[in-house]
Formats: sequence, structure tokens, C-alpha cells
Amino acid sequence: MIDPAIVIIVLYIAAAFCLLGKKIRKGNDVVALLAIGFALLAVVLNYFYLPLWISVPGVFGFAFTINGYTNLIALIATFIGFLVVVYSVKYIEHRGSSYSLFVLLTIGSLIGMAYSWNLFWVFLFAEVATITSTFLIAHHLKSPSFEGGLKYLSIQIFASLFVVVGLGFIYQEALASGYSGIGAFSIDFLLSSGLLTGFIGKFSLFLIFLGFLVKVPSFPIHTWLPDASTVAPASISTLLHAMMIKVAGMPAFLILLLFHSLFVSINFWLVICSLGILTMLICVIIAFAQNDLKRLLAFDSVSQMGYVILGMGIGGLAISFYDITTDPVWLVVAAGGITAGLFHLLNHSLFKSVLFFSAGAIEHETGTRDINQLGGLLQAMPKTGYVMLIGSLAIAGVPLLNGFISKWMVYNACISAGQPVFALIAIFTSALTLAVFLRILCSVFLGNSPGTFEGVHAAPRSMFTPSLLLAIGCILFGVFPQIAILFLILPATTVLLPVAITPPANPLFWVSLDLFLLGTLLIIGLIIGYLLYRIKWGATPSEAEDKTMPFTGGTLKDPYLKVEEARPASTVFSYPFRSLLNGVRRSHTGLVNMYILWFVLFAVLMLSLLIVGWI
Amino acid sequence: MATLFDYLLIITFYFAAIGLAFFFSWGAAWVFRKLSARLQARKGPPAYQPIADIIKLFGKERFIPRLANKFLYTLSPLVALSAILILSFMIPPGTPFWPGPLAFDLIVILYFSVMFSLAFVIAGWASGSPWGKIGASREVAMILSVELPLAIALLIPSLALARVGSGFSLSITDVIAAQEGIFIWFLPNWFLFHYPLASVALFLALLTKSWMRPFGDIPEAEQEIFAGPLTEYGGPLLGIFELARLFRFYVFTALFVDLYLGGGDGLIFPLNLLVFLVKCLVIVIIMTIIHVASARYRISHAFKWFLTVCLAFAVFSLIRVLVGF
Repeated sequence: MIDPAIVIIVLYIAAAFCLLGKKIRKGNDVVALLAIGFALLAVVLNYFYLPLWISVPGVFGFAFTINGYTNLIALIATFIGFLVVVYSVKYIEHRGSSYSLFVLLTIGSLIGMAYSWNLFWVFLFAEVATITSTFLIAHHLKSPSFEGGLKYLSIQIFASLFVVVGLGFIYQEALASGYSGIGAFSIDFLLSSGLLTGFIGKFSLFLIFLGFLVKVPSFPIHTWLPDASTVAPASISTLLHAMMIKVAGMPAFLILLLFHSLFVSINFWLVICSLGILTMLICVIIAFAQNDLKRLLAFDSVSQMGYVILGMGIGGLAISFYDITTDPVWLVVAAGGITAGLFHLLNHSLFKSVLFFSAGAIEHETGTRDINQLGGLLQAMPKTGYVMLIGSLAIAGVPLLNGFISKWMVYNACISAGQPVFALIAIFTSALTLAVFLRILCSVFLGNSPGTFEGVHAAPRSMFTPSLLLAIGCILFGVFPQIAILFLILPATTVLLPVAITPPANPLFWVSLDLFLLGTLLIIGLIIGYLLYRIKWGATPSEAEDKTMPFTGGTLKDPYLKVEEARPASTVFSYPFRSLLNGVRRSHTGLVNMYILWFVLFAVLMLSLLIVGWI
Repeated sequence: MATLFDYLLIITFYFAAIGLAFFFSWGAAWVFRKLSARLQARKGPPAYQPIADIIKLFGKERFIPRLANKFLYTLSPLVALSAILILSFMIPPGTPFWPGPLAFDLIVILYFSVMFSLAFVIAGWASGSPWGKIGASREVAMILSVELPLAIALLIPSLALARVGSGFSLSITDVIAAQEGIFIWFLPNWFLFHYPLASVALFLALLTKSWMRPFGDIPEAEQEIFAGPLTEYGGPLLGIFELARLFRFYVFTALFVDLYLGGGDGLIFPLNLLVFLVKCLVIVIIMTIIHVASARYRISHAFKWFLTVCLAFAVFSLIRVLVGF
């Protein structure tokens, strides 16, 4: 095993090296790739708990722990970070030394945050990652980028005030009991010493939860993510969506689940689940109205995080409200909810990276992100198109792709926890997600080419390979989810559960859903269809040109009367939600003051509910 | 873990299931066409006509339109066929006839039915025809409008299981098993009588899923957009699509019969299959009469119907299930 401290120090030193090489771009790339490659190696080695120990003396005072949970989060962060660095080699063309510097600093801080088992260090690394990623968001050095970056920074800094106050309360408690130093924030110490009891403990943890909830992000405070990731380079959008919101957001649920004994009210967990529901439903409806490819993906990302929040909420509900030590039924529900949430987290990293990498490739080649201007790209960029097809179908939950399994597990957890309404709204959200992504696929890849994309060619290999790898991962985890669940997710779930669980023979939670069998049957069906198609029944194919022109209904001159410009107009999709959509659109003013006001109102509401004792 | 032998057994049953579904669908399609014709004072086709139409399509030449994307244009009919074959395997004919603990749950069935519709959407867009695109976007709109009432009405029987006391299960076989016995007087213990409004919602949703008017043929309205997603299709690929669409007569009626009409009523072997098929045929006849008797609604009407009336029916039943009255 390699001490995570070494990984982080290596990444930071490599970042400093990038400062030197302002003239030598290739040198920066090599340094960045070597550093992140080393980090990936170290994280993978840590995953297997190999006895090879390379450690540093504790002069830095990092409080790292290697367990199933930190391994999972660190693996997500490092793997996606590695692909982001690979992708950036060709994608970021005009960069100074600052890009590699800040990318390495951000990834290093996020890995540090993933391994930290101390609230203070979690907070510190989160702040470093926030500040360094602000420079990445503003990378293009144009006025919208500065605006997006500043919005991001102000909302994040405001949210960390909550964390600071919460940590202050905890420290005060620790001082009163005679403990001092950073060790007082250690999660193990807080759990074992029983320092956090009663109202103050609950209140301070809840403040920290609110601070990290902004980074997830959840519904009333989701606005920074679309604003920031629209203006950022696509590699940085991927970094935000596939790493940042997961590594920086998960401490919110980590503390809730570990300190579940403080949150025993069922109302509290129902509020968390409702937050998940609101997040997924409202943000997917907003995504309908977007014409900017990356903005649409960003809103959908928020919506997908709703599934994670819902899974975690169901798990927490089962842990804290029911006695899972004696009741195996509720233990199953608790493990099922948390596993579903974590699995969706992992899957979302995979397919959202595919989509953002592809969106970046499209923008790189065509120069636009407007869905209404793009079209017919499947002819020009077939590889990117098919990879994006897999990513979109996976995120929409088409069976035999990974999104289906994790969503299915979330539904099952909800229904077995006795909350079927949540499951039904989540199913509906899934259909809405499908419609959103069909709109992207159809207009961007299958629609008519506007004619301006004549010179567009396929993306460079270093921009395509990362998304191909992730798309293969989507299919692999879709057909054999047992691999992911047994080796990646269940170790993390056991850390979050207070009771030891033995992995069941079929880890898909006690319902026999044999995806390999389903896949086999699907392929048999495809073969039957293909045989029916290929068998020579009679007539020979003709090469007549006129037969292969589109059907015109008999008119030959100007046959379609402008119908060929037909696109899946957002009016058709958004018709039933028009009034809701207009309200939502009006409320998204883009003013950061308003967004912070939302957050304050939300926090005041939640805190007053907490003070009253309802949650 | 399932052994290789189990897999082979399951695949054998898969072929048996699609054989049954095929022959029932053939008969039901003939009943559908004959009855529509009689209701419209026509003579109607002979019994071999539904399958003869499809065989004729396979005899025609293969071609791919110049504007189409070749891969997706060829793939989408195969996906449609494959999805509906899996659906006809997963929805049991009255009683589960496969051995072992293989129980596909209702959410998987829901998702595969969406996958079936998805194939038509991709087909419409991949064919490169404006009519196909319009039809495809209408198909997406229909998926959206139907999805919520359909999901609620599908899950209501399985949620009601927990109340009946037979334990929580999303498996369709448990839903069928829970419907044995007598409800009150002579009425059987079907969920139709327990939750009539939800059954109406599910019936309308399945009617739409199986391309029956008043809402179902909006995506392929021939007076407006020729054949919708399938405008550019012809020859064997259209034949595969038509074959896939033939199975709708089995899949969507069987789903309704299993969930709300008690499936095979727990009878012994040949009898339960017979009872089940008769029930399916009755549903087909009712669907046909509604199809013939009604005009096509506009797409906004479909939205309004499904997201107000049907949704209200489904939610009312859902509240009844959850609260328990």
C-alpha cells in the first residue's frame, strides 16, 4: 500500500513543476500524466490492501483512512481524473501553465478529500479544490467564464460558512470535554467518544450537512453547477460532474449515515428523500427547456444526483428509524438503499463523463454547443455518436446498461421501505430523462445536417479513447453488475452500515434479476430478427437510385414544404409542463444574490424545523 | 447460481412462450381485423391474412434509403422484435410455466415496454425522413404521457399484496397467485374489483401502447404523417417491425389479464391456459370495439387525458392502497 499522503504530495509537486514549464507544453503533459498515473496506480494498489507500505512520517498530520468507502470515492476521483488529464492533452489547445497546475491541484485535493477521515481535513481539502477549480472554470478568460466562476466561488464560499460554524460548534464541545487539536474532528474519535449528543451535536452536524449539500447539489441550491459547467472547458465540466460533486458532496451523507443515532426522526429522512425527489423531477424538467448541450447535461446531472440522495435517504431511514440489528428485513432495506445510491453515484460518473467528453469533442470539432444548430453528426463523427448513444441510453435507464440496474435498485429500495410514491416519481423521472436524451441524440446526431459541418471530422484519438473506455464500463456493469456491487460498492456500504452484513449470494438484493440471462435472451431475439432479415426469401436487391430516396407522398418538387427542417421541438415535449416550466424559468434569474437568498431561505426553513423538533 | 442446464431449460421455455404468444397474436390479429371489418360493414380478411401480409413483406427486396443511418436503421427493428419477445416470455400465460425461482418483476417489464417504443423512435429518426422524425417525436410524447399512469397502475397490485398479507413482492406471479378465491358474493378476487379506477387507467395506457385509437395511433396517423416512424421502411425490415407489432395483441392484453383479471384463476393445467386465453380474447375484442368506434385525438388531448383523468384515477387508487380503504 502507498500512503495517500504520498499521492497528494506527488500531485502537488507535479503541479509546481508545471509552473516551470511555461514554454514547454509537452513537458507539462508528460509531468501531469506521470503524476496522475502514479496516483491511479497507488489508489488501485490501496484497493487491494497490499501489504507493501510506503509511508511518510506524520509531519503533515493528514488523517487518512483506507477503508471500503474511501477506496471507492478515491477510485472514482482518480480514474476520472486520469481520463480528464488524458483528454485535456488534445482538447485544451491554448493554455498557459495554469491549466495543468490547477487540474493537478484540484485532483490532488479531491483525492485527499476522498481519503480523509477527519471533518477538518475534509473541509480543508474541499476548500482547496473549490478555489483551484474556480480558476479552471474561468479558463477561457472571457466575461461569461469569469461570471460562471465567480458565481461558483461565491455560492461555494457561502456554503462553507455553514461548515465552519458547524465545525466551530463541534470544537467547542470538544474543548468543553477537555479535548483539543485537529484530532477532535476525527470521525472515529467523534463516533467513539460520544462527544456529539443531544441538540448541539445534531445541530452542528446538520450545519455541516447543509454546507456539503450545496456541493452535491440538491434542489434549491443546484444553480451553481449548470452555470459553472456551461462556461468551463468540457474536460473541466467532466471533472466537476464526475468527480467534484461526488467527492465533495458525499461527506454530507457520510456524516448523516455514520451519526444516524442523532437523527432518529422518520420525518428527517423523509425530508431527505423528498429533497432527492424534488431534485430529480424539477431539474429534469428544466433540462427540457435547454438548448445548450452542456447546460442540458448539467441540469440532468443534478437530476441524477437526486437518485443518489433518494437512495441514501432510504438507507438512512431504515438505519435510524428501524432496528436493523434485530430485523433482517430492514437491514436489507438499509443495505439496499445505500448500495443503490452508491452504485448510481459510480454509474453516473461513468456515463456523465462519456457524455461530457463527447459534448466537448462535438464543440471542439464544430465550434458550437447549440442543439438547434447541430445536426447529422453521426455521419461526420460516427464513433463519438455511437459512444454518446450508449451513454445516453445508459443514463435513461435502458435495460442491460448500468443506469438501469442502479435505478432499479433505488426503486426496489423505495418500495420495500414502504415508500412507493418516491419510486413512482423516480420512474417517471426516468422516462423524462429518456425523452431529454432522445432529443439530444435525435437532433445532434440523426437530424439533418445544416450544411455548415462539411469539414467536420472525427475527434482525435486521445479525446475519443477515454469515452470509449467508460462506455465499455457502462455495458460491463450493465450486464454483470455483480462485479461492481461485490467488489466496489458493498465494501463501501459496510462502512456506512452500523451492522455487519454478509453479502448475499445474489447481491442484487434478494430479488432474482439475472441480467446475464436477460442479455442472452435479448441477443437470441436479435439473432432471430437478423436471420429473418438475411434469409433470402425471393427478390434480389436492386440498385435503383430512385427507390432509395425518401418517401415524398407523390410530390417531386419541393416535396416537404419545409418539413425537412422538422426537429423534435421542445414544445412537443414540454407541452404538459409549460406552466410549470415558465415558472421555473422565471425563477432562474441568473443573479447570484437570488441564488444565495434561496439557499438562506432553505437553510432557515430546515434549521427552524430542526429547532422546533419536527425533523 | 444458475447452471448451464438451467439456462438451456429457460431458453427452451422462452421459445415455447414466444410460440404461444405468436399463435395467440395471430388469432387475435385476425379477430381484430375481422371484427373491425364487420363493424364497418365490410367482409373482412380470411384467417391467414395477418401472417400472409408479413410473409409478403419478407419476399420483397431489401433496401436502405440514402439519407438513413444504415446501422441504426437496420438495428431498430431487431431491437423492437427482441424486446417484445422478451416481454412475451416475462409475462406468464395465467400461471408461471417455467420452473425455478425465475421471477421478473414489474419494473423490468415496464422498462422493456419502454425499450420497445424506443426502437420506433430511433427507427423514425434513423430513417432520415421528415415524416419519420415527426412520428418519432410524437412517439416520445406518447411515452411521456403514458408512463406515469402506466407505472402507478402496474405497481398497484403488487403494492396491494403487502396489504393482503402475502408479503411484499414485485413479481407478477405473486400478483396472480393473490387473486385466487372469491371477493364478495360471486365476484372473483380480482384486482379489477378491488381497484376499478386503476384498472381503467392501465387499460387506457395499454390501449395506447398497442396502437389503438383514441390515442394509440397518434404517432403513425396515416392521414397526417403517412406511417410515422415507419414511413421509410419496406421489405424484410418492415416485416420484422410488423411481426414485432403483431405480438402486441398478446403482450399488452396478457399483462392486463395477469394483473387485474386474475390470470388463470389458479386452475389446473389445460384449463388455466384456456381461461387465460379467453380473457385475453375478450380484452382484444373490447379494445377493437373502442378502436373502431373512436376517432383519433390530438396529441395535446392525449397529454390532457393521461396526465389528468388517468393520473387522477391511478393516484386515487394509489392513495387507497397506501392508506388502506
